[in-house]
Amino acid sequence: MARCAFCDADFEAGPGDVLLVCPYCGTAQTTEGAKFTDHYMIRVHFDQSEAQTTLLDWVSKQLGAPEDLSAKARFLQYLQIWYPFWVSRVDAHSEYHGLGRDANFYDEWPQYRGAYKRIDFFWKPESGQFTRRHEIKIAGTIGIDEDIRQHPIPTRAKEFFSHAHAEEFDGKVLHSQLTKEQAKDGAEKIAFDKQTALIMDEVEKIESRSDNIDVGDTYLIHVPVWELEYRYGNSKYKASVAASTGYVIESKYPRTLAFRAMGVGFGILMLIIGGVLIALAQGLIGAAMYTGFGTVSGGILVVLGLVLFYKGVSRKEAKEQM
Amino acid sequence: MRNVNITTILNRIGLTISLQIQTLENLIMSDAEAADVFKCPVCNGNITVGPDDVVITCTYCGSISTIEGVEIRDHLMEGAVDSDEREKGFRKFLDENKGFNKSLPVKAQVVENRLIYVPVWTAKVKADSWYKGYKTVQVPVQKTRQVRDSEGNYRTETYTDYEPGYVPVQDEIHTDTDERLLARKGARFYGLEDYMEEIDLADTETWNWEKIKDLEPAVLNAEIGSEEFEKAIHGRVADRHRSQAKSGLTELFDCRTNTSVRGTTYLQAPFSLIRYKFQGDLYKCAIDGHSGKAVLGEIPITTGQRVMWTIVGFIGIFLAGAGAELVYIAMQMAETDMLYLGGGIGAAIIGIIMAVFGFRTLLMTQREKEG
Repeated sequence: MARCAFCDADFEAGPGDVLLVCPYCGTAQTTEGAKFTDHYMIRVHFDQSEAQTTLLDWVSKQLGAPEDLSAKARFLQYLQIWYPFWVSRVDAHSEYHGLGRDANFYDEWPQYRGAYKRIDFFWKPESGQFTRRHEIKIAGTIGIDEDIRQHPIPTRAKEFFSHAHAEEFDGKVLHSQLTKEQAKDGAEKIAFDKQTALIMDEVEKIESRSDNIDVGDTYLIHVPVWELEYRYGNSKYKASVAASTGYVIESKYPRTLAFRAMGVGFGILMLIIGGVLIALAQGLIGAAMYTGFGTVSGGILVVLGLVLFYKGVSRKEAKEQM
Repeated sequence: MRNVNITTILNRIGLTISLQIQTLENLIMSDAEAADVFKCPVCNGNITVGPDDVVITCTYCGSISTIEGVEIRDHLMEGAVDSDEREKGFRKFLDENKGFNKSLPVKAQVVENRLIYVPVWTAKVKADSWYKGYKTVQVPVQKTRQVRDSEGNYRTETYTDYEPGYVPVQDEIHTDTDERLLARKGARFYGLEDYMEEIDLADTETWNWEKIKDLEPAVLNAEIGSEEFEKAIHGRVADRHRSQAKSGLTELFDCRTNTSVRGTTYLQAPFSLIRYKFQGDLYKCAIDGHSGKAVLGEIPITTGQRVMWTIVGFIGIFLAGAGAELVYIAMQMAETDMLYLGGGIGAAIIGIIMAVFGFRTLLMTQREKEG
């Protein structure tokens, strides 16, 4: 439990939560009660029913999804979760001294001018510098789903955080488990790694480097995601839909029994035919016959059979590409 | 409540304040909210802006200014066509890509077709790279060996072997290209990258809000300023040169790029994302708002099409096998018949391609087509 330093209300907070958002007055604050003002959000453009319709319309085009999905799916759970992200602007300047590869060439081939028989690599000192501005996004909660973490923060304008807006949809605003300082440290590390990657493109080994990494504006942004769960037939399926853009971040979906049976059936059939053709071709059953035909056609059939069989038995997750 | 009173009092005594009151929650967090509103230097209108916006389009008079309140005059836009025209372009795109699915252009039902003006920075970038590396080639070498013929006699035979040769490469790349960058941070839209390639500066005109106002576009403000753009674009061109240099080489030792950026222009470009339903399923298509033509879109695959492609796949498997059999027969002959060999290899390759495409289409969710 935590107590809001601004409206005195008691509210739920987990042991790892360090930057809290009061569910009553919406004020973002540290556990010591200091107000945090660089707090933004992305507005919801898809309400619950729009998100559900978009999800089902999108999912129903997936391979093997049942035709009557839109009509028969029943939503069991529709939570709007506001995920916290820290975004930092990092100005990084790195100077480096290192060793890069180069080579000497010996013994030209007489029949191929310009080509040499021997190559001798050597190290040569190289130095240089990189100045880059990085924009770094770090999830504020630990154990957040990978797809949600990777999903780009949508292009629609961010706004100052409004708790009333989240409340309109009964949204659950997650507290951040990272403080601003931790987020800045994280951003600095990521920026350092990015600079290292840039340097490693130029040199093979770094001898010495000096970095000036300045973590500038760092703000907290809450991004709304519909966490949906629906029942179709006897099974339940989970899905995440971006509440601002309607993109399906990820969704499990049902495949019809007919589709599975076809996949498995045709898969096994093709495997058998392919196997027999190969066996005939290689002379494993009696004398070898149709060697060329059997090997190639049989080979293709076996590969396709395996693919179909896999499609038939796998439980599928789909993601919308941006 | 305190804020409301102050505002009322200020108004009563004839003072105007630049804070626009929109909703009650804006009043609750007063100090943070002040930056949410920007005053247009041209018409004095109060505009709601995002916290990171640096170039702002006034929603009343349409003039464009920097966040410091300086009007940007020489910036451009592309005119846009209305939603009917965009839908026409979209249906034409469907018609071109319908394949056997004749009903697609007619039965597709548009559920979203909104015009968005996206902020784009463009510039001419002249880039010069010098690079050094090496590539490996196969050098033919004549060699001799002892072979035993069918009667058991040894004789010397010459044959061609290949040995590696190392070719030092030092070269330069010079380009002078039009570069575009979306002036938003971490932003992505379906098909936007392809759309930005389509922008032709010859189609642009001076920003004229009156002309496009009636189309009710959403105008996105820029979050990236011109300096940041020029920095980013240098990195992008240098990366492209590097990968181009790398592509022909075994190893790239060094690559240095100098760029000069000129003619940096701010541009508002019309873009539209159409979402449409076909047989109850949802698809999307990116539209160039200037020409009304589709840039990139998803095309449904009907059951009939899947069946047809499966048949193509099976024909491919048979053809590949027949081709391979021809090759095998040709190899068995004392004198290799080139007609058999060539025809067989050709048939096998075509067959494999047909099989792969056929079964890939069977298993695809949808097709993606460029306009």
